[in-house]
Amino acid sequence: MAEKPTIESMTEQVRNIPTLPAVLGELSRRLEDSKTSSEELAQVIQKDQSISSKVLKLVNSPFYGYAGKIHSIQQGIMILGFNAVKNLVLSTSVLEAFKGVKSGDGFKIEDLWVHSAATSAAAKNLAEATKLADPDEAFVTGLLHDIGKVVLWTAEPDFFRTAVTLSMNKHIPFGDLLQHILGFRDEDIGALLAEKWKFPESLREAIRWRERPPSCKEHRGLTAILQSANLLACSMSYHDLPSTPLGAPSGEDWAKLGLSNDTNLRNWINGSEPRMQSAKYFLEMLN
Amino acid sequence: MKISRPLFPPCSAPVPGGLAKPPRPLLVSLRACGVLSPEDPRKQRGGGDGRGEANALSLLAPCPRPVVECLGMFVAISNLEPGAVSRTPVLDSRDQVLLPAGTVLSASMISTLFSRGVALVDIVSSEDAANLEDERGKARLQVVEMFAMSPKTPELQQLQRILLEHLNG
Repeated sequence: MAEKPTIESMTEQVRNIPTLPAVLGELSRRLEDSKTSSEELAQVIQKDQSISSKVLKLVNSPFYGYAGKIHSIQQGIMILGFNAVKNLVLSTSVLEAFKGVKSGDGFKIEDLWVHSAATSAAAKNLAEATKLADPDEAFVTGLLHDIGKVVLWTAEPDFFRTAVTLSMNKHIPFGDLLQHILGFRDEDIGALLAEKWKFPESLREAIRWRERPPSCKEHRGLTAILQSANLLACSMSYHDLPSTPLGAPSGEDWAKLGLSNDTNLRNWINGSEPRMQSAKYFLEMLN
Repeated sequence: MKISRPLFPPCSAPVPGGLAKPPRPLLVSLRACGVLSPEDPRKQRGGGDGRGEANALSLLAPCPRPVVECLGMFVAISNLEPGAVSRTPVLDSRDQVLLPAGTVLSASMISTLFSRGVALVDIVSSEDAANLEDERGKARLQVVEMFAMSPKTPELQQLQRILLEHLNG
């Protein structure tokens, strides 16, 4: 097997990843001030031309559901709300940070982003239905939940490939396999990066515990939504690691989300599918 | 695993809610392809004399599929026959899904869509239908294979069952 990464080497790898654009920090500070107007927020975002143009492109894509309707950042804030736009800026900044990541044998970065987009669609839909988390927060969590995989792939592609093959051959979900071999999971790497990038606590926790929601004390609803959305995306062909087994949700969380009821599950699939089908548009963001 | 991609090619994005009022077919088709903004001022100038469509064509951004191919899939609600299959989700004016993609339309469904103000429906051609069935067959097989190597928990077994039902239409 290729040389095994350690938590220390992954921490070092995360340390070397650039910080996210300054616009995010300023945006967060302004959002804490209830007197900040949409015009002021728009001005902050527009300081970064690359980010603001990508936010507009994403929000107007068929995937996001406002195709051709939002022509300016300020209009986006008025229609979508402060937090939704902040989440869009965050998502766009992360995509921009990983823009240079290349695909290779065993891992296609395009599959990962389409999977993430499909997960975010399913997560938003489930959050709306269950009211157990904020739908915009669920959306951004779905989009960014797999950043740990990107870090691991970038740092240790040979090990990554071997782990994917083992996961397929041994029928062990990828995260469980990493836990077994390394003592930590790709979600743990993602949580390290989420901490470095100062993601909100709920997002950090959901990324860390997404395959183990019962261990997440403060944001279990959001985490359980992410786990189930991730599962649905994988099982509906939007899999980031094709041919690796699915992780099983806990019965308690599945029931709490109402998904043990067949009708609810059908409704969720039917409601999520149209937006998931548009997930490929998300790739346009990367071009 | 690839189940539905590219089961529904690029032009099959959910049709924006502009279908509630009887729209001009060409414009609706272009909006459905994501190549024409509903607010585009040149569309407004077009009025009812047909020049709007001509202007709209000049606005075309690069479309992932040939425009003619995109246009050919929309059928006016009055011309729909029971048994047609929706190629994309049918949405109302608020972007609520009335019917998912792949629904075999019955007479009562067509009547309901009409009463909900839907003017056009994107349906699959016979060639598309054959491809769709082929893709669905592959998708069913992939679901079975994927769940076979996954843990046998009641939740995953339930999900597999519902997904297979879903794929069987």
